[in-house]
Order: sequence, then structure tokens, then C-alpha cells
Amino acid sequence: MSIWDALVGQDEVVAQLERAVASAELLTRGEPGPAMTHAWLFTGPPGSGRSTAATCFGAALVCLEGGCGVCQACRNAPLGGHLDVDVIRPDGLSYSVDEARDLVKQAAMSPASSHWHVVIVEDADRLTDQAVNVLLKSIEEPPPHTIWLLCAPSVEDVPPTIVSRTRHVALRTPSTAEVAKALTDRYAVDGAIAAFAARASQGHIGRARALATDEHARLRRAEVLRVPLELRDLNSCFVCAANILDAASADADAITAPLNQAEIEDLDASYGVGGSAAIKGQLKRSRDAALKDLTKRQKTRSTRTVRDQVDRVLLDLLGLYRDVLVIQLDAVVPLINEEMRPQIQQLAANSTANDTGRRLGAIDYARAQIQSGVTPLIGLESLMVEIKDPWIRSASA
Amino acid sequence: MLAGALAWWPEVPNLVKVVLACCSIMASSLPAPSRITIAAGNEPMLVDRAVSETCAAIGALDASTQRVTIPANSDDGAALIRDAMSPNLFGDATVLIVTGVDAASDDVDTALRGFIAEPAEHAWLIVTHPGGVKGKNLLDALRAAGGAEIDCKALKKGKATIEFLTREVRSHNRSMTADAVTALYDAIGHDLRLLVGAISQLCSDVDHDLITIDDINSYFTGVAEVAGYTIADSVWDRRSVDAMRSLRWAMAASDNVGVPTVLAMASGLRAVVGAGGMPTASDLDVAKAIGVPPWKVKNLRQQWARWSGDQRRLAAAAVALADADGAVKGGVRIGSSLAAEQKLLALEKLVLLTSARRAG
Repeated sequence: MSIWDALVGQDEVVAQLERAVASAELLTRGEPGPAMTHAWLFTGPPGSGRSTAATCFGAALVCLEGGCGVCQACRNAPLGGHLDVDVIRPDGLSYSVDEARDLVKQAAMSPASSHWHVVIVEDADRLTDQAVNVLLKSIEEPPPHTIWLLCAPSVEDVPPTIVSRTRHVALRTPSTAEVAKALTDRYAVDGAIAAFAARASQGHIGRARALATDEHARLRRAEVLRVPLELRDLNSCFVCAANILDAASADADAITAPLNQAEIEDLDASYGVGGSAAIKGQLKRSRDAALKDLTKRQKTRSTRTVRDQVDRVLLDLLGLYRDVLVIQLDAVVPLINEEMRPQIQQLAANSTANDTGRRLGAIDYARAQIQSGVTPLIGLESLMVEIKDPWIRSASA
Repeated sequence: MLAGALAWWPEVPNLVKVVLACCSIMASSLPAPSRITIAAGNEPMLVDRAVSETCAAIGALDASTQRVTIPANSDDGAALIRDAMSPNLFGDATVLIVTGVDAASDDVDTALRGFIAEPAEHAWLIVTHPGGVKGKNLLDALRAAGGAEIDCKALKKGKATIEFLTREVRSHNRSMTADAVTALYDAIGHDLRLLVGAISQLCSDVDHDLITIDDINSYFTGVAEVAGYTIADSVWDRRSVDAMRSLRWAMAASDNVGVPTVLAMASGLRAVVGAGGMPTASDLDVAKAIGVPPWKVKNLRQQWARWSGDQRRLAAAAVALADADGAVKGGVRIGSSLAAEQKLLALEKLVLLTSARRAG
């Protein structure tokens, strides 16, 4: 048992981080520890476990055994319950400059119960340019005990000023076999389902777990992949777009609703709402203001979650058309959606590789559009029209 | 927007003349001004008017009055106030206008209290205060010294403003029907300066006594802030000229046209396509299915029919809409940031492309 067990298929990264932890141990005794440094950048495709890797690394640094995986520190740190490990998760669509200023102050604190104060910034790609500028100084020369761990999908997603000040840890996409093995080992999932989930999730571990353990997730995915067969006319394009958004919103709700509920209960508990006496006056005003603020934050989080879920749907579609292209080009690689081979063959027979290329491009563009703020429904409607008729753009020229 | 509206109105110099004329008429009908006048409130148009009317009333008493305006937070405010209050060589009267006394520096505060304690014979004081508790102490002292207070608080939207407009018309010795006042307010929006300007324009240009809604319509149709839905309706009706005209009006009237227009067009398209997909269902069923009021369904079906031979272009419109949405929100690719002109260009392209008849 070790803290690193949480990572799937990242042996090289684990080795690098273990060396760093050992060096960190030397540094605390005043000896040179070249494998350790004060700022790290974890990159890897979504679902490869970059924030897991950062959290494990953080836990290993504050663990007195260097990441035993069983002590109090190792168990609390990944849950955000360790005093010396701060996990910053930008809930909204971006991370503002004010939040960054607070973070710099917070990062300057000395560790409480270990040798290091670890600050983990998940989704560092959501930092605004101004926020990055505020953090730069602290990331370059933090106080002696502070360690920055930043996570982002790729090096290109963070400004070069951050990249040049950090040591890079690149996670790779775990192979289908590794994901399937992790699913059967950890969640006791049936072998066939584990293989399917590993294939369908394309190395996204969280997604693989959801597909392997949640029947609804499997059903919704199957529905999405039937979409291309259902696009008969303009009306059906619009209906499909609405259905996809509904499904994504339902998925997003399933993620955010319990969080929202818990946060509101926490807030009410801290103000004593629901106790024997009703709160009033100044206290009530203060609580109402805090609730309003919280609701606003929850709303931006839910907007973001819906967008992320829509993006996941689009990735599934991208996988489907990738399979279509595989068949059209007679490539000898396994299909992502092996279980849908007949439908995929039908789609491949009814179109040319050229069409498929346009469709793949359209899906990719729709992803960029929705990530950059295009209303998801409008983006999806446009995409459905383009999937039905990949040459529609030339009609409007 | 002001410049645009003025350019559109015929005979602009007339307007200026009328405003000036009105000011002097009103001034002469005012009671004798008080030594100290307080314009309290944050509606700039009312504050300006209070100041200029008071000055005019003072000027009517003594034609040689000179005017000095001093911001209360300026560094040398106190010195300027003392200068202005000290008797000048020719014994001319001075109107001292101290603006924003909520932010008065200590020196200015002392200087003004000096005036309260010992008002100079030849000097008149007008102060403006935007409201709120800051500087209330000084304000109370000015009131206690017999300062006449003019209410310049911003008018609430809706009823209060409409009542103000009605009074405004009456001050021109004219009358306007209630629906005309409402229509004027709807057309111009909550901008008091424009509203007051429009009223004096109407009063001078309309020959008959009672100003009616027809007069408003003939003067202000199209100037009104165009809602996105107006543009969307024209587009899906395939009235491209109307659509383009509305879009240009909307752009001239407001900087924030892009996003609402795209949203309105998208929901319009959704409704048209939705209605088109249910050709045999009853109006009521269609209305329920696509979430529009039942009376709209007939119109949606007509719009669908206008596109029936041109489905591919309608589909292309859906793609163009998403592109325009990306453009008005600042561009899709990371790091791109479109200038305002480019955003508007994207909108114009969208409107032209979707509403134009098929070429050839």
C-alpha cells in the first residue's frame, strides 16, 4: 500500500515524484536535494489524473514516512483535510485577480505540522492573465517552506511565464488495459464491462469509473451515439441538440446538486439557522448576503459543469466519427465503440472519408466554440446541422 | 446616441432655441432666489436645470452677475471661495456654485461655514449634493441658514418619470395624451435629458394643441431602442431590408446589441423550425411543445412557409448563428479578441446572409 496507488499507468511520473520526495526529505535536514523544487506544473489529458498526482505528491510531502498511504496525513490530505495542503479549485469559469491576491497571502503561511506548506492549484488554465501576474512572484521565489503544484491539461494552456518558473511533470494517457485493470482491481467491476468502459472513456479514469459503475451513464452515452442516425431533417437536428443539452444538464445536476445542498447546509449551520430560535436582525442580513454570494458562485459552477458535460458528449461523438474514419480508411486499429460496429459500418458506407473529416472538424470547432462562451444550445444546434450536412458552410458562402 | 438622435431630428437649431427660450420664461416666473440654494440629488439633468434656473433668477435681479463654479473637493477650493466672496472692484454680484459638497475638503467646509456665518452682500451661493449621508452635517448647516432646497433626486423608472414628463409638457403650456407620454417614454427610454429635449422639440414642432400618440409615432418610430426580437422577427420573415434597418438602429442606440440579438435570433429560429416540424398538429399543441404563446404559432408557420423552398439556407443560418455568437462574445480561438467593429460586422453578415433572397 502506497499513496501512489491512486495513479493509473503513470510509472515514470511516480518514480520522478518519489525521487523528489526523497530529495525533499534531504532538504529538510539541510543536505542538497536536487530532485526537489518549489514549483511544479502537472500536465496531462483530462482524466489522466493530474490533480490526483498533485494531491498524492502533496500528501507524500507532508507525510512523515514520505507517502505511506496509511497515516493520518496521507488519508486527510487528498480529502482537503490537511492543514498544510491547500487545494485551490477554481469553481467558476475563471480565477480572478482578487482570489489570486488572497492566495499569495495564504501561500506565505508557515506549515503547521510538517516541513512543507503545499498549495495545489487545480485547473491552472482557468487563471486569468491578471491572476497569473499576481502569482508569478510567489511562484518564482516562494517562502522557504512553500511548494506550488499547478495542474493544467497541457503546457500550452498556461502562460509561458508560469511554464518557465516550474518543473514539468507530464502524465500520459493510460492505456486501455491499464484502466480496465484498475477498474477490476478497485471497484470489482466485471471484466467485460471494465474493458468496455476503458475503451469508451479513452483513458479518462473518472469517466471510465462512471461508465463502469453507473448504468445511467452507459445509457446516456448510448443515446448520444445514436444521434447521427437520427438526423433526418432540420427539425430533428434541433430536437437532438436540445436532447443532448438536457442529458448534459441532468449529468451536471447530478454532480452539483449534492454539493450545493451541502454548502447551503454548512452555511446555515454556521449562522445557526434551523436552531431553536429564528435568526433575525443583523445576523439575518449577514446570512442572507452570504447566501446570495454562495448562490452566485454555485450558479457559475453549474454553468461550467454543464459546459464540461457537453464537452464530454462531444468527445464521445468525436470518438464515434474517428471509428467511422477507421473503417473508411481500412486502418488496422481497434474501434473505440466496438459494440456499435454495425452502425458504424453503416455510417461509413453512407459517406466518404472526406465527409467524415469535415464532421470531425465541425465537432472540434463546436468544442472550441462552447469552451469560449458560445451558448451551448446554439453551438450544439449548429453542430447537429453540420453533422447532418458537412458541406453546409459552402451553402452559406 | 444623443448625437445620432439629434442628427436625425429635423431642424436641430430650433430645439436649441426652444430650450433657451424655455429657460428664460421659467426663470422669470420663479420666486425671488434665496441667498443659499441647495440642489440635492443625483439626476444630472435636474441638477443642471436647478443651477441654471437659479442663476437666471439671480441674473434677472442683477444683470452684471458673474458665475464661478468650484468643485468642493478641489485643493484650492477654499481659497477660490474666499476670493469669490470678497467684494470686487466694480461691485458686481457673484454666483458661487460649489459642486459635490458631499466630498468637501475640510478647508472648503470651513470656508462655506464662514459664508453661512457672515453672508457677503453681493454673493449668492448654490451648492450641489448628490444625496447620501456624506457631508450631511454641512448640508444641515446650509439648510438651517435658510438655504432653499431643490429636489434633484433621480426619478424612479415608470410612473414617477411619466408624471414628471406630464408636468414637463404642462410647463410648456401644452398637453399630451397619456398614451402619447407612455409611448414617448417607451421609445426613448429612461434618459431624462433626451426625454426633456424630445418634449421641447415636440412642443415647438407640433402645431395642434394636444400632442397625441400619432405625433410620437411619426417622430420617434425606429429611434426607439430596437429589441433583439424585432430584428429576429424581420430576419425570419425574410424582410431583409427591415432587419438590416432595425439592426443598424439598434447598433446606433446601444453598445450592447450583439449577445441579445443573437439569442433572440436563435430562439426565433428554434421556434420556426419547431413549428415547421409539426405541420399537422393544432396551434395549441405546437405552442405547448415549443413554448411560445398560441397566437404566435400562425406567424411561425408563415415564417416556415417562407423558407420552405430554401431549407438548406435555413440550416446554414443555424451554423452562422453559432459563428456570430462566438464573434460577439470576442472570438472563438484562444487569445483572440475581436474589436467592436468586427463583432458588429459578424452580426450584419448574419442578418444579410440569413434574410437575403437566394441569389439569382
